[in-house]
Amino acid sequence: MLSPRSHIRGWPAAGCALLLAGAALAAVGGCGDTSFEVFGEEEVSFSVYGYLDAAASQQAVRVDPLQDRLVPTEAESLNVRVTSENLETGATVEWRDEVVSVGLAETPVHNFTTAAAIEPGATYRFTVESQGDGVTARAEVALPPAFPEPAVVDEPDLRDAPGDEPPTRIFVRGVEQIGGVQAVYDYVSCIEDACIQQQRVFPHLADTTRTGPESWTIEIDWDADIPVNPVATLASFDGFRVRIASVSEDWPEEAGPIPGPNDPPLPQPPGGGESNVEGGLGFLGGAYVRAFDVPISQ
Amino acid sequence: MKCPLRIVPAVLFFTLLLWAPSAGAQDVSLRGFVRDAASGQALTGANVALQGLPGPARGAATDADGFYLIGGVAPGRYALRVSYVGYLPYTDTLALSGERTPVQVNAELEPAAQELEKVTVAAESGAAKLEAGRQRIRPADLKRIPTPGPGGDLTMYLQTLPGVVSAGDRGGQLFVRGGTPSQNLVLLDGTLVYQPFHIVGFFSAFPQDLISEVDFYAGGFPAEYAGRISSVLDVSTRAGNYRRFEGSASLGPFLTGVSVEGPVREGLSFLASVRTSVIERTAPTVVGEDLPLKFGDQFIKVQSSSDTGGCSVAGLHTYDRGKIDLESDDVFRWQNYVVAGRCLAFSPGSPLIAELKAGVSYYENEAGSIDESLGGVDDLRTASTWRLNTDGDLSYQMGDLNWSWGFRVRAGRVSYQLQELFQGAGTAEEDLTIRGGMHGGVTWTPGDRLTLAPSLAFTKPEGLPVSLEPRLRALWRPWGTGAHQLSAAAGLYRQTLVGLTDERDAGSAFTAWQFAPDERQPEALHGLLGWRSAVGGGLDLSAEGYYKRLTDLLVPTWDTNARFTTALGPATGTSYGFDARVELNRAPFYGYLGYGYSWTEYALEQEVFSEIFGDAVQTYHPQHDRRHQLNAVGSVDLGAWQASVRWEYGSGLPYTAPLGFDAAFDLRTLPDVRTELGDLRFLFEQPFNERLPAYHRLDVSAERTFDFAAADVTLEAGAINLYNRANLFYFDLFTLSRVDQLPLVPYLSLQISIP
Repeated sequence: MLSPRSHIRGWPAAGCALLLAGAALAAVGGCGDTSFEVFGEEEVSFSVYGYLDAAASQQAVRVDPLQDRLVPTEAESLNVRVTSENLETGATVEWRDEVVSVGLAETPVHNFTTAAAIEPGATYRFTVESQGDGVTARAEVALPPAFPEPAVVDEPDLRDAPGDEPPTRIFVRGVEQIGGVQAVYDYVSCIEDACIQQQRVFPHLADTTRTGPESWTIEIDWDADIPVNPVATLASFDGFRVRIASVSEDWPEEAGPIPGPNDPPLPQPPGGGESNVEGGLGFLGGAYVRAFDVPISQ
Repeated sequence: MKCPLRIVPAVLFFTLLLWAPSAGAQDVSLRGFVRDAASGQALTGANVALQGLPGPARGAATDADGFYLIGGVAPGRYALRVSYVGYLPYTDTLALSGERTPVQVNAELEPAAQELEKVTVAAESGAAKLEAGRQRIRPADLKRIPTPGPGGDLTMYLQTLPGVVSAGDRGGQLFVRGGTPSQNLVLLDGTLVYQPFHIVGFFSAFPQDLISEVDFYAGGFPAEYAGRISSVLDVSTRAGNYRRFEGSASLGPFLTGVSVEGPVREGLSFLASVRTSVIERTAPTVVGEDLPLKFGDQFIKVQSSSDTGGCSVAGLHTYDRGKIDLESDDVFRWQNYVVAGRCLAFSPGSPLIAELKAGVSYYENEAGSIDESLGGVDDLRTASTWRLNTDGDLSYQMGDLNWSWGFRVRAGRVSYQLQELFQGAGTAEEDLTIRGGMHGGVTWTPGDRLTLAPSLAFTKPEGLPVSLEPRLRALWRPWGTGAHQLSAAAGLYRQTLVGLTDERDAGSAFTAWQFAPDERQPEALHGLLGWRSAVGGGLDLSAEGYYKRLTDLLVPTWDTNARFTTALGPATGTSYGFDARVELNRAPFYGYLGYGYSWTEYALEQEVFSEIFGDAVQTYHPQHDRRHQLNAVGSVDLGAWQASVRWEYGSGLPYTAPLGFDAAFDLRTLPDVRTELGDLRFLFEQPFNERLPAYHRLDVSAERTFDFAAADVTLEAGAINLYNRANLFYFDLFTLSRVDQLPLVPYLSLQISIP
């Protein structure tokens, strides 16, 4: 049986007052604007990455606007004029915009390319100029001189017993500064009966030793690079290509060990880290990259 | 034999403690238990007054066990009066002589007239009754905060207190006066609970119905508490009814539950509660959106009670699972298992009071993204830890001095699989680690005006140096009564077991517990100074300022690489602020206004800073640095009717404003930009350099209890976020999605209690 307590008569006035006060607050508070501007004010508009290669027949430099998404699904329109000017001759070349999809997620990016020759030993001004608002980003890039093809000893010999392979040694002359060494392998590795053709790229700048003002020795322990899977066996070794970059003085300074293919990138400081792009982010280097094949005996 | 000099003061201190009680004294101690005559349960917060005939009056309030102690009483005749609102007072006349001490008087209070039955306002509790960082919380305090119940909950109450910052209404993370959640010590009947707060921020493992009393220290806590550097939440649960069986069932839009209690045999009772969430099913109707959140808890307690003490064993299991961000694939899950044993005992002729606590705590949590293509969870990060604790404490009243000392032994183990969330801390299963310690202290009350309580904690973690942590609490009552009181506290605090959380992500509830690295135990120095006044007419005022200096914190380093993994770096921190509270308690009305100002800054040392800023140490305000907080609570309690309203305001929390995103290349690898994407970067100028919009919310509730012959039925109606403000929880910078806190949530709940 219902037996409300005797001293309670109906809805308490105080309770009503509280709810009315709440409703009044609702009228005031509920109208508040809760929108906000997520992005901070940026002083730069473009991110520029890559290097001019005086040995290459085709140049490519990544020029992207600063994105408002981590992984854009479509390329942001980029109404810019990108040029390179040889500061000694004054010759200016306009670069061409190519939107390509790269990476596993096929992320669209802007690469600017040119087939114009880049002269060893020259200095270039690379300019990105927005056609709409005149915003520019520019970098001055000094190119190193050309250098002769290095000598190679201790090429891979698969006839040796496994585990006895010495590292391949490469002697470089005529290079004041080496900015990058890359080993590119083509091979077939097998796990039991399942075999797969692979190409792996390993950085070897850390294996470089200066032996004179312009001479270097590079030791590449190719046997430690391939096969990368410890349970796999090397069925065939089809290609061993080395790329060595002679670079100018303003090449990015060492910020730590180069991460391996499966390592996370090095931590980068706020603001984007070291940059030579005035009015932008990133780094445009100058290099002379010599690539050559290392013979394989098998 | 090597004897480090730093332990010499500790040895002297504890020797002094052991020696001191042997000194004689003529004063008398009065002690005993106060219980409900109908149920046999302890009455927490009952007033025990001893009036000299003739002479001055002395008094004390009962603790969670219903235990009281009045020491330093001069021999003579006294009138004893034990009172508790809603009960008939107990009175007696005592003739105390110095030949017999302590004197024990137990009191059983008879419930008073029915209309007062539900009014259980205790004098010692209340938001404005702050005492050097400590606040005593009783169930009646929780009831005043609108909660989509039925019933109140400790976590909703805590969020009304200045200095307690919640990251949002999901995730269960509470920050106290600049500290982080893993720096809070939460105890259930003396045993650690790692994460008692549920994934929906309105609920914890501590509902109003299970609590006897809570001591909440926002800082400056004494040496009996060790192992955390920010705050202490010491929860004492109540015993079941010793005389008859009772039960209740409840149903609300978030939770449904059943509880039963009753006698096992004379002097032994049980209390059991099971709750499980229903919000996953009701959310589309009640909230208007999906809330894939599931949580629940089970609690059981068996308690014995006698005239010379009692023992209890409590068991708790909590479970939480869900997605905090609907747009994200991340799912979080955690659970606690706790067994807490506790005994309080004394012999009739001895002034010593002994307390023994032993328990086991286990916590596991995991987070990962759901990958439908893999048919399960991908990138699963898991972490678990367990701890066995044994604590023995003795206290002894001698005149104006109350001595206390004890030992603690902890054994624990942690394991984690972090998928490189924190670089360099990938996978580990650390061996059993044992640490022991002692603590001791004295509370000296020379007269009515002053109380001084120095204490010292001595800890020897395995593999780490000895830790000595001196602490002091002091009270000064210039007019000799508790109506006006100046309080202060200071102390040194260290933490051996640290909880690593990705502070970059406001939506993350994942914590990896690890033992602090060698010589890098997080450390805090606290200083507090406060004043409180009972103005009269039920009006209380209080204000308190605090300062905390933090060292050897481990925080995520600054890195623009867009990835969920992060390196950890050492940091120091400073936190200061003040609270101001006004509380009016004039039955049937209650009002409370609390304001908190807080300022927290971390200084992170990272080599890369010296290249960019010229200094390797950079400062920033961490994610939980809420500068201003305002809480207003009003309620009216007319017995069968109760209505409550709560409004809260919080200034915006810091966040890292992005400049944009790009992809970077390490030119030393001679990248080919035509085929490679590069390393994605999240570009920002400085972390936490902007603030989110301010937050405010209004909650209301009204409740009506009907007495039927067979049962009491309580109906509660209310609303969370009454004016449906779109309060931002956080902004996912990687997906550019805005995650808001809950919109307007109207609710109707029902509780049926069978007495």
